[in-house]
Amino acid sequence: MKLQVYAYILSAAALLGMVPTVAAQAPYPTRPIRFIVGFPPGGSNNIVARMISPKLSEYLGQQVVVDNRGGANTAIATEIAANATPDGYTILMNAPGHATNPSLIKKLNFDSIRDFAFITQIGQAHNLLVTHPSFPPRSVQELIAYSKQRPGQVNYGSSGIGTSVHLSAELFQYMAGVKWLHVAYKGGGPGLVALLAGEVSLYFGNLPTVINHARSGKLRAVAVTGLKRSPAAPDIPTVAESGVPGFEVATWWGLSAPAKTPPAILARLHKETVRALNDSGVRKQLQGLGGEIVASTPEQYAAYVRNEIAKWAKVIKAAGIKSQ
Amino acid sequence: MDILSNLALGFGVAFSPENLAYCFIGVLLGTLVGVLPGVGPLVTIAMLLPITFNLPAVAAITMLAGIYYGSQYGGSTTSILVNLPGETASAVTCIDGYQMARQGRAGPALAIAAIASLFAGCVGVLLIALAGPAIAEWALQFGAAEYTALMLMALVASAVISGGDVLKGLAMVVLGLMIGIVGVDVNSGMQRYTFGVPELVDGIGFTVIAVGLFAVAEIVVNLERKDPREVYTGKITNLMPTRGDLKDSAWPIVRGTAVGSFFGVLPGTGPALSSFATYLLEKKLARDPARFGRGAIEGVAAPEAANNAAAQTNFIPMLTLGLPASATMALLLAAMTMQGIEPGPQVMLTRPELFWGLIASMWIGNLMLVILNLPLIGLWVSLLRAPYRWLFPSIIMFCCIGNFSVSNNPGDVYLCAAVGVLGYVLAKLECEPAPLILGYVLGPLLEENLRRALLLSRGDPTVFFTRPISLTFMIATLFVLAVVIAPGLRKKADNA
Repeated sequence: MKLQVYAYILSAAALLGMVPTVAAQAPYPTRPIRFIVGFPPGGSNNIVARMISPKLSEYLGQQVVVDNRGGANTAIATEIAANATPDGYTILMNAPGHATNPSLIKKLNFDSIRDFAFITQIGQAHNLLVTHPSFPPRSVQELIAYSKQRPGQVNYGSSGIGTSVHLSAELFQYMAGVKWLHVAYKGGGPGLVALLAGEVSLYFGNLPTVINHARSGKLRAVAVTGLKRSPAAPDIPTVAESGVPGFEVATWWGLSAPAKTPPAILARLHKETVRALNDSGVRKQLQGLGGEIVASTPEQYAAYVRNEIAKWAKVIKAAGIKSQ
Repeated sequence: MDILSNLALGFGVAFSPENLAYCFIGVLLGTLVGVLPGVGPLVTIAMLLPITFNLPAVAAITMLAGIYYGSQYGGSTTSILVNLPGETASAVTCIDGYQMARQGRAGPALAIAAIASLFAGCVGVLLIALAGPAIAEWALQFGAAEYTALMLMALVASAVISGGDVLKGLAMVVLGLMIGIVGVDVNSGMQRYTFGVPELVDGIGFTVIAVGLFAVAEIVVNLERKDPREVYTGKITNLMPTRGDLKDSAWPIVRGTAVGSFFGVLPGTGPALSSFATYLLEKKLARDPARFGRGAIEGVAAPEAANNAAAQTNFIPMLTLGLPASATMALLLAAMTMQGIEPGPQVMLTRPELFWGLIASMWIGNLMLVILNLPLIGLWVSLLRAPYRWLFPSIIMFCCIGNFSVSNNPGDVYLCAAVGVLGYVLAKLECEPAPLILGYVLGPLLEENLRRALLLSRGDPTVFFTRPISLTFMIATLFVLAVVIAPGLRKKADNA
């Protein structure tokens, strides 16, 4: 492992030495690459970025430097990337906010589709619907029946407006035809505390953060938000198979670059990113976050983002969440 | 449960050369990042997280935890020396710590901060070891109504913090409150006072406010002085606190530890609030409250004890329930998850070597911190001998670096300069910055919880009086109000 790193450094150094004599135009990359992340340090986006960047640095032979530009649910970072020179030296980490911001924020200074060249979807993770043990419904079916009899009386918690925790519940209400009361908290920690204390009755938590509470009996696991059951909890049914067909919410991470980045550079970035994602260490670390590797093609990834934007536009409108 | 054998196991793990080394690296890094404003434990832990994947679990967690509580030690240093709060929780330490430095008592102030932190840290760790799970369960009873009542009590008590004019104090609280609600409203998702500027969507950061109001404003005020600069150095007496200092600080340290331990357990409040709360308490209990704000050693000892105790008890919900009480704890939780440790109540049973090893390492780490920090005092104090033409630009540079590094946003540096101007104007008007900061911290929390409590009760305000903990705070609020108003009325009567 270590030897390999040295080998790469050596070969990179050798290449560098050769560059001036061999070609006037040096092969990409010749200087460090900026990897913009739309969240401050902390949180899964930052962790995923910092998991991949050492591998990318190794494969590309140049440092890939993570640049945290938190704020406005990734909109600040995305705007910086949209306006960056499309030369392959700026890449952007996409998160679900990339697809929901067009519906949540009225005035965006960029276009989530047109201004970007999509490289690959890095991975995704699903949420787990958990309830307080004192809450009577035990299954999705019971929950729907219970909620229909008590419109607006069931409280659900979230980690904030526009987060995947919040939008999971909005999609559920939209698809199942029920009405709950939303209680927003500042972040996943306080939201989960409120559920454990019974202040709210249900919560679509990030799977690894809630699964142990369900196992220890402090919470009750009802269903996962993936289309397929989670390998981490194969005994828990999906929402889709329990009476809300087609229901799916994922937290996802993806890589993109400014729109006019040269195709050859995009191809190189795609190749090396997928190679990094196939690394067993990276795979294991992402599993630790409750996620799975996707490593899709640029076309698949672009289609995925377009699909997400359309899906959430519908849900956000139906839920009456106002755009700013 | 045999606590002694558990602790023996813990110390056995913590005293292994490898774990000792990582503990030391952690607290050393913590001290360093604590000294720099803005560069806090959150950023440091986030950067180091990927490196720790390759370390054994105990070493990794020990080191990351050390960064966190170590930063609470370092944070007081610049607060005392140059009125620059290195860490959120140290803003309060500026008030009296900096005045002590101006009187040539920077050494005793730094020493008492270290001693208070050591005592509080050790007690905090003891609490985790003895009663962690029980405390965590108790903290779960704090819902929106309880938080509302608690914040109300703190806000009312804050009238005490303003040195002189109650009206000016209140105006400052309100101003802080207004600055605090800039950004997206948690409950409705609406943007307030953002003027379409994306950088304001997440609000104005604490570092911007605290550094601007304390450090930048202080420098501007100093530059204005025509008379030869104030020389602290000629007056430097001794580096260590006197017997009298220790005696004056003993009870404040104990009370600060108690207050800090309490706030540390509550998610979302943490060290910053605890240091304010304990400062208010000391000022109220003091025989001569007028000394506060003019270099009272209690005003350094108590908040420093509080923020360190809170930093330790902050671990309780995380370690015993797998619940993060703050962003930094969420990061530590992620570190554990990625090490393959499933956080939650079972950690104590499935990984006793990790749990008790961490506890033991915290005691060792706190001791290391004092050994590390006491000899540094002489060095820090000698920095004050530097001429202002060197000192001021350096401080300003650290302010800029700190502000920029919070979110890599140059806008924050400009904003901090603007807040510095505001701080200068306030100084001219003889308005104290402390109530403003308190309003900034408490106001949004109060609003958020008040609206949440009413949302949950479907608009029924009796919820604040029917829940026992909430009712207790409400009664205490009325009591504080009476205590605050009564002397004011008496004074008016005397003047008349």
